Amino acid sequence: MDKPQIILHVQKSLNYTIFDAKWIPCSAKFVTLGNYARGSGALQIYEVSHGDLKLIKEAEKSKAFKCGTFGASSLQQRYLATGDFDGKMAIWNLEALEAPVYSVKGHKEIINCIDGVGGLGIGEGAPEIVTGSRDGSVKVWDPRQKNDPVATMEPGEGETKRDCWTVAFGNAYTPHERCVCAGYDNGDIKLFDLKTMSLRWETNVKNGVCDLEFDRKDINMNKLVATTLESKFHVYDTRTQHPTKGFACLTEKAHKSTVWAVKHLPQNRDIFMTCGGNGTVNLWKYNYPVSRVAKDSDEVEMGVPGTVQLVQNTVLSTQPISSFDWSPDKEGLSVCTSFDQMLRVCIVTKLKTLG
Amino acid sequence: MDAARVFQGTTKKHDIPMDHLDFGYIKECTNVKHLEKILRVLRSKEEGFYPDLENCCESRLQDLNPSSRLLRKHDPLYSKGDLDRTEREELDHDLKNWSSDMKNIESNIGGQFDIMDSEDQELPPIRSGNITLTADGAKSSKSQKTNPNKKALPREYRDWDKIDVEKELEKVDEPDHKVKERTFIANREVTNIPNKIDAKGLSDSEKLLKANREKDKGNEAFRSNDFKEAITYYSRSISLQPTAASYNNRALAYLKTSDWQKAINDTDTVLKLEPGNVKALLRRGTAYKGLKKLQKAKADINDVLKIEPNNKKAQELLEQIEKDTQEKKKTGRRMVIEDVDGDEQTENLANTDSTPSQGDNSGLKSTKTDSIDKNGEKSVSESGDKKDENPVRRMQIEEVDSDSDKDDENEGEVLVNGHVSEEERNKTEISNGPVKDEQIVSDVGKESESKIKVETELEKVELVSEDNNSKESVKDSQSDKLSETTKNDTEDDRSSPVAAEEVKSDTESAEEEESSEVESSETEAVVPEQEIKRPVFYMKELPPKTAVIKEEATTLFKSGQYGEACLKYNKVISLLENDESQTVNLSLMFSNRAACHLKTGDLPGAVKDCNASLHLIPHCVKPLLRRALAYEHLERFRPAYIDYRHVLLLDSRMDQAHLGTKRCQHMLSQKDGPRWREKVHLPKVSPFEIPDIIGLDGKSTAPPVFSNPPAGSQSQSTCTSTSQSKESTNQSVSSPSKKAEIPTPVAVETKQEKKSVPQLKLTPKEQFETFKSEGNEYVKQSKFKEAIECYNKCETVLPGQVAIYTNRALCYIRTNQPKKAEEDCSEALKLEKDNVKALFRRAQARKMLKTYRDGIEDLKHLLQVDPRNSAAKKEMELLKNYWREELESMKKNIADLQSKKDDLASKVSSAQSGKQTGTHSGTQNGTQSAKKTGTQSGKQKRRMVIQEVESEEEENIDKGASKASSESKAGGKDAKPKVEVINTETNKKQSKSKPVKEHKDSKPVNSQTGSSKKGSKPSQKKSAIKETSQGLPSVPQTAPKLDKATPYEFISAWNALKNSETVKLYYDLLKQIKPGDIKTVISNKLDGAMLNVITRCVSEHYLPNGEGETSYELLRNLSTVPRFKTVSMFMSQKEKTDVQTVMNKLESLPSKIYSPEDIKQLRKEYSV
Repeated sequence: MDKPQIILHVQKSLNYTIFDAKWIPCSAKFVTLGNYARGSGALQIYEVSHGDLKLIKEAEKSKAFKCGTFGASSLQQRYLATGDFDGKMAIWNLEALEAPVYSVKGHKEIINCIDGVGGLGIGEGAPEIVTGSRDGSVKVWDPRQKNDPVATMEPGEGETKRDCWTVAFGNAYTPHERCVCAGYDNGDIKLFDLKTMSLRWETNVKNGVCDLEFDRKDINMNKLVATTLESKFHVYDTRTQHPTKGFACLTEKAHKSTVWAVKHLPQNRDIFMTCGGNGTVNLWKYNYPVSRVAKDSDEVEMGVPGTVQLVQNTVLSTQPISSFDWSPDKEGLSVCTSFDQMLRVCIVTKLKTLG
Repeated sequence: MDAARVFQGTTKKHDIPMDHLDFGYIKECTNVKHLEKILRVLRSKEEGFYPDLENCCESRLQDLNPSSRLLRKHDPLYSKGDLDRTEREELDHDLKNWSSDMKNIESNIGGQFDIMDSEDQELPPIRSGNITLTADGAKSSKSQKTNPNKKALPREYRDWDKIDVEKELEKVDEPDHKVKERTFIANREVTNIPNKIDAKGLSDSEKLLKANREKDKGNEAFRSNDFKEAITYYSRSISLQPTAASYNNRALAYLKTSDWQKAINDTDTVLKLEPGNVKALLRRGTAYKGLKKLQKAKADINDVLKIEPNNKKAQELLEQIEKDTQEKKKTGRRMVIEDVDGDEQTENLANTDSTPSQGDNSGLKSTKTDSIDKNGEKSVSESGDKKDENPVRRMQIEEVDSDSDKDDENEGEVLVNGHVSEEERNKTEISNGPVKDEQIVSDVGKESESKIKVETELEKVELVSEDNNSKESVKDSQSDKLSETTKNDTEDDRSSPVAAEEVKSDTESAEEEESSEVESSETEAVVPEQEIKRPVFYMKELPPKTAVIKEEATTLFKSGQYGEACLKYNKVISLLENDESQTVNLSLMFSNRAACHLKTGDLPGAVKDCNASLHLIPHCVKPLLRRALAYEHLERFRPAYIDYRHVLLLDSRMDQAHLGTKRCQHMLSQKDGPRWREKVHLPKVSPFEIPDIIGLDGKSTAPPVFSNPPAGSQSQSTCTSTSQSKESTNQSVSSPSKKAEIPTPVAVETKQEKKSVPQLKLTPKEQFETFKSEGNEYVKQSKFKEAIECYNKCETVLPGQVAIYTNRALCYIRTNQPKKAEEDCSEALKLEKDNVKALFRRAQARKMLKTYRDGIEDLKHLLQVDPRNSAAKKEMELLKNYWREELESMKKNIADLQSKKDDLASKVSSAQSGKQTGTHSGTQNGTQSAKKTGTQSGKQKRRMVIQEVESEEEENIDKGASKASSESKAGGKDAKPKVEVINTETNKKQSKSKPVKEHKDSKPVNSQTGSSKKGSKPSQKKSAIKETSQGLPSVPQTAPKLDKATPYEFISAWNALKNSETVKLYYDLLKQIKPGDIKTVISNKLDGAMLNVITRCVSEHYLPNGEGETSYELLRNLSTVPRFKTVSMFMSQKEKTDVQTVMNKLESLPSKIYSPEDIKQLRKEYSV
């Protein structure tokens, strides 16, 4: 038993559909977001203490919450940014949940995904939030600017609008560099460079892209993982971009069903967890190739994909795992939610052995 | 039979022969794919249920391919109950600790809310932009709109014939395509992430958090073999929270990059913090081994073994070290045997040190000379060359012996080799004379800089080899020192004769050119002939044994057998390595070996050697250059660029380095975008300046090549600082002031060191500096005229400084003297072909002169040098638009002309347009407005207006314009001179300033042009003044547009105009507000200045524009503004009289809105 094990610490059944759970940075608490059967939104704060989950605070809002992030908030404030079914993006002070500190009706339809950068000491530069919606647009928000997005990436007039399922920040290693990656229901992955406001790279993985994540947001882009609807995920080495071939890619089958989410271990970017529609979670380790760069016939550099190694494959539930979040403060501690309305806090042991 | 039949078929699913479903087959099968198929069949149970066979198959597959996907199994979710007790307890305990820790941290963090809340550090501005996704890609909404309305712009007839309009139009668009073709490429070799994190405003817990995160990043980068990146992140972590672990990790990363000394420094720190840290000891041992300090390495490893006797790594390392030491001993013994016998051991050592170097010298030279005497003379000739081409020279001599990469060597070396006889030498010297004359002062400075280094070096050498001196008799104080050093040089370095000769050549050159430099004459006096010959004498005595090998190496290298040469150098290096006093030669040998590596394509090896060489002697041109080359070949452009720049700093005349920088610049700007310089900046500064100073302190040794008698260097050394600073400003024009600061301490130092320094020499350079900084200061304050004067002084003091020309050009542009600006830029470009600033400013100037095509050429050139320069791109776009318009108008005019040729009436009009073109007048806006005003008469007038302006401008600019004006006359005559004359007369006064303004503002000021006749003179004058003293043509200042008349918007708009010198803009702003709103808009922000400005607006704009009623409204409402009472109480006398006059005027104007009574009331309010 030298390899990492996934151990259930505590679980709890809730009376609403949980879409997202996020650890509150620098605490033993996390937030859950979801949807009551009556259509209203649930926001609850739990604390892990003495082997149990303690409900600390809860609030019910008129619209169901779909997703949330702390990524654009300072460590002191730890404001939660959420996206809801109505297309509204709001920022909440968890100390005072009565009214949001920032609220904007950013999209015409449900906000599927949200990500933040520039806060928590992660990512250089201004704090920004990106949201992706069913209305096909991806919008970047700066909490300093009310009402209007600071950048919008949307299909032009008359173009078909694809449902944007996932967004992720990356490449924020200097105050000016920053990228947003967006995944769509038709399998499109688009990487936008916010510095130059251009489409830097795009590809199509033939299957709806359920989740995207950079291994780290605040370094020169290193790896990008994209999970898809039909039991596959792709790992892109984003260090080296070939002018025509783009990024080197590794594809792996997993879960035998939709891969709902991917989350990189905050303490080690080469370890990540994928969550399956069949209720399993898989722990992966990425191994770099001997040389990450090769040259093609024209002496142009291109990336070389590495390999992934399945470290652990564990069944958590019979229902899809809708979200998963590593604790930023405690290596191996995680919270995950599934569509059987269960909340689980798990511990992955011996992660250090993976080095 | 039956059995056989059973096994004959194939399975349904994968067509596997039945007999493969068999224990025997499966156990033997090695085909993983096939096994997987079998397993699948078995698992499907289509052929029956064989659990044992399935297991067997699985285990076989496990053996062959443990990572096979088929073997993946779901594990159930364990709960804590499934764990061992100890494990469980551990886990529980861990979690408990953690949650209590978290509570503490949380309470800490909660403590200081306000810091981040209030104004966040310096965050980048809020971005804005959109990307529109289309079927075939995406469009950024930032893309430039092309101007839909093409405006006519007149030109001279003759020009129409010359230019193929269509072709030109095509040409205009050409560069666009090029830019588009460029593709994005992510760069692996990143990233100038700053090495330090600004920890301001972070609490301790946050710092710790961040430090840990940076360390994690470092670890990750290390794991993916990005050692440089790892070092960066470790450094960042250390800057936040210095921990032993981070230092230790960084040490390991340094080991990986063969940065031994830094690794040692880091491990030292670790061991200070944690004595007995095994890893640190081990790492330090490895580093010492890397540096070939085997004894120290051994000591460290032994320490490790004391703590952990079974440490395998340590054991291995120890073995290796032992092997190495044995080899060393062998070679060491050989050295002793080879060397002078009869001497004492210690002396022997010293001698062996010296022999190779000396041998090198004689070795190379002896290829062509018979006697050592001659040899000495040769070195004289060499140094003669050296004098003439200082920068290059330095390198040459340093490496003359071994250097054989002739291809890239410049003629200097050829010359060296070519000097066989004295006569020839003299010849070259003479021929070189003029070159010297032209030498730029900064060169002298550089030379002296090197001399300072050498001096300190010499002092060191002196100490080291004191015992060797016994052979030498000592004479009077100065010559004594001289002789000593030279002697030491001869013994220790091959290059000392050169040094001695350099002095001579110094004097010679001084004689030749009779320069004003006092010190050269001093040198002359100091240098006696003896000294020159002395080295020669001593070289004879020391038979160079090590040098034999080196000579062999050199010849091998020259004959192209680089691999063998490399081996020889290895030998030499191993011979020299243990000698502390041989750093110079060792460095040299490393550098030479690097050359071999370069030739054989072993680039990492070359880099390593250069590093070693530079480690011994920093700021050495040759190894730097080689490393740069190696880096460049390795496509690591950033370090290559840094090295090239480093070389240039040391020696700005290195053509190779110049070319290299250019190449790297190109690559970097392609990779990193226009801001690549920011990325390079940081590492650039530190290696250049800081170690430089250390070098002067005497810690680092400089190659003795530059050695020079103290007397000579004394006087010159003082020049160093200033010239150095100048040089640096030259090289990085972008931050002249910043860099200029740095050398000053050096100057102080040197002064302190040598008090006998004649101060005379300093003055011009000092003056230069002061004038320049003064000028820069004026520029900052927008006092361009004063700045120009300062720069003029600079030029007289020290001509030939690029920065001065570019700066002055800026001032000229600002003061609306494009012609002069252009001249200055051209001058600057003469000095530095690719000076970005000069190019840009010349383009601007040319834009003002309306020679768009030339301007575009400049910008094209600029964009070649710096393809990501966004300012240039914008300017290009602008110029292209102008140019396009000009061309379009030309086209139109041609058509016009032809169609109306016969018509008399049209003659008149065409004549006018002809004149227009003749005068070159067409500023875009002028013509634009001309077009817009519908009536013919209006057109006429305006046209004339523009023409007038032109000539006015030309007059200002003086002679340069004469051509244009003559042209205009010619054009006018062709058409219809009469009209011109008349119009000129009538419109002269009015048109004078107004069009200038239009041209300047470069915005369509339709309303204003429409009322230009009405426009009052004073305001126009004012605006003209404003324009000249401010604002480039491309950066107009206009009154901000108010979307809503809210107090906030108004006040911020008001404040934005603070810098404008006229009230015109305030007037524009006030016009946007209804007088009735003034109270709400100003709210309680009224102050004296504002009141004053408003009254001025009224008197200078409202009233002359006949807006008496509005002014009354304005004033009346103003008096209701809160705080008005208080503010008006403090009006100065002058302000009061202003108000008084306004009132008087108002009174005299007839109005329906107000009566004299009202005015009286108003007077009361204003207490006048």
